Amino acid sequence: MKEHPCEPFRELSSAALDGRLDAADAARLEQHLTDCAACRSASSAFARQRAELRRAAIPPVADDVVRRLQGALRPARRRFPYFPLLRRAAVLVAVVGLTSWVVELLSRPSEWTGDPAPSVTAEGSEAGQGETLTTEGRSKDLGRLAEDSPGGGVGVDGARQQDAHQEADEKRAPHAGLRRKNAPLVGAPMLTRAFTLPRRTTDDGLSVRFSCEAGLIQERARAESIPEPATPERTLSERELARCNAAVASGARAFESFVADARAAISVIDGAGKPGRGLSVESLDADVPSTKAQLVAKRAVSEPGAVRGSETRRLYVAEGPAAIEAVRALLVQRAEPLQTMETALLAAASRGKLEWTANAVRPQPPQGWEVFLLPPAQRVADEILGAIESLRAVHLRAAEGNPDVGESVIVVLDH
Amino acid sequence: MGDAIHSEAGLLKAAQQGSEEAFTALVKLHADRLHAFILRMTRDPELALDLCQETWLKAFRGLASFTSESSFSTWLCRIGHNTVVSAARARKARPNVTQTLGDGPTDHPEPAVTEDAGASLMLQEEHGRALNALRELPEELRAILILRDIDDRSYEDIALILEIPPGTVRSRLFRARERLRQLLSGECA
Repeated sequence: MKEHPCEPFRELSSAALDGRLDAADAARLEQHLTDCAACRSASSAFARQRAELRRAAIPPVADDVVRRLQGALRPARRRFPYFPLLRRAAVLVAVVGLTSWVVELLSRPSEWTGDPAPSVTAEGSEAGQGETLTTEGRSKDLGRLAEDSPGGGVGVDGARQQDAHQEADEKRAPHAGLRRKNAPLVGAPMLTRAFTLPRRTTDDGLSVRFSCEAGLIQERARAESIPEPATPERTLSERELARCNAAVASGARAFESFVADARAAISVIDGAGKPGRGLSVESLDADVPSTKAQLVAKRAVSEPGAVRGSETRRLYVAEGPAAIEAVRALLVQRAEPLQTMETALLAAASRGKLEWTANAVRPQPPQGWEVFLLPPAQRVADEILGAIESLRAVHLRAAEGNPDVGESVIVVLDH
Repeated sequence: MGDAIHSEAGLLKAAQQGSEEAFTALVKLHADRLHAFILRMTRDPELALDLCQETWLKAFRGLASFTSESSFSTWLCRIGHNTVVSAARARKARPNVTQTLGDGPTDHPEPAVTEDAGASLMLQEEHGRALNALRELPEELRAILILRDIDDRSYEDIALILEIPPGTVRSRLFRARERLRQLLSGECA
């Protein structure tokens, strides 16, 4: 079959969506898209359909899987009587069941901060009305969080009223696990890098998308005493909560994976398993609002000189070229879904459809709140806007005293 | 357990040496992501759990042979994908069984019929147009779209999981996206 003359460019569009174009191909594509409306439309469609595919979240099932393995491992053990590991694993799973030792493990003081629990605030909007709720907690197994989130908890404007509810929430709400600074980046801590919300009852079901947003925006707003928008209460259903937890867990895993990859890349470059110059794992992990840094890095790649913010430039842009390029590649790859979310929110905000924190109508982001429109997403911003008009966002904001200060979470809910 | 076991490499090493705790931790770590992939491939909540279980059992058996050439997640997903494909073939060989594992437009277009009320309902609600169209794609295109556009796997990982050359990932991914676009726009594929 004869190839459509535009097909090579559409393949380039597809690759561009994944950040897999070199400069020459990117320029060719850009030129072609300028001239070809059909390919512009196809390019937008690729981004739009991916955004839609990513919209669905699936609740966690780890405990179910363990439960199933508990029974299944016995016949497996019989089939493989001479496999000591399998035998031991079978015995373990059969005995342990759902009473997860992980909970106990992850709660050990040696591994987890004993600091006061982080406060997480969620802000959302529904039919033009914003809502906020808060929860408090300490580290706890995610699967158990999903299981035993108690009811109760009253939505409040986190900045002003959460203190009033803190004590009550601590008694009723599930505990939110947070990885201690400098704790191992992968492995068991991933399980607890999650926020959760009080169990609620509401009238509609929502699906959830997840995005991490680092705290530059929040920190800047805080530093400049920019007030948080007042938000009325809202409620979340159990289904929402389950999806929130699933989405947050998924996002946490993606983040951990990103850090692990970055660390591996740095180790390879450095040759000695040490962080590259100026690219410390700690900075990726804790000191820098990481996902925002990814966004910044992505923009730094595509628009050299356009990035503001000395912190991120120092960490991601101004260091050794080999290390930077390798880490950039990772950043670009990992930043995509975040970029989409960030851009979508911004696009909506800029059109007065959605406030920056997505809980009221405001034509512009608050003064001093730095936002980024990244070139690839800018091209598809209009398309994303169409999809996001029905979205509602919940912004889980880390409060002061949070060991992971600077990190926050945006969960976007849609019908 | 010491700190070492808290890294995935530590868990793997410990599990390969027979640590029961380490293996359970690995299951906990990776079960959700594996399940999400398999569920999206099968669209059948109950079947997905069955295949997850089967995948984990295979992983148990092959754990000693796992090397660090790929990440554990990639290795596990590769087993999961092979398990899904094998199950689809087995189901095709039994035409009297309701097909929920798709291999193309001729598959049953409706959502899974096996009942897991909560999960099934959730899936149906979450299926937008793109998710519905995803079902219409052949298995190989559906898998690569799920791995890249939903699961956010790298090209390199996808090549390992699907056991295809890295260069094929880009072209197949394009074909998948283009086919999906055509389905969504009503164009003839």
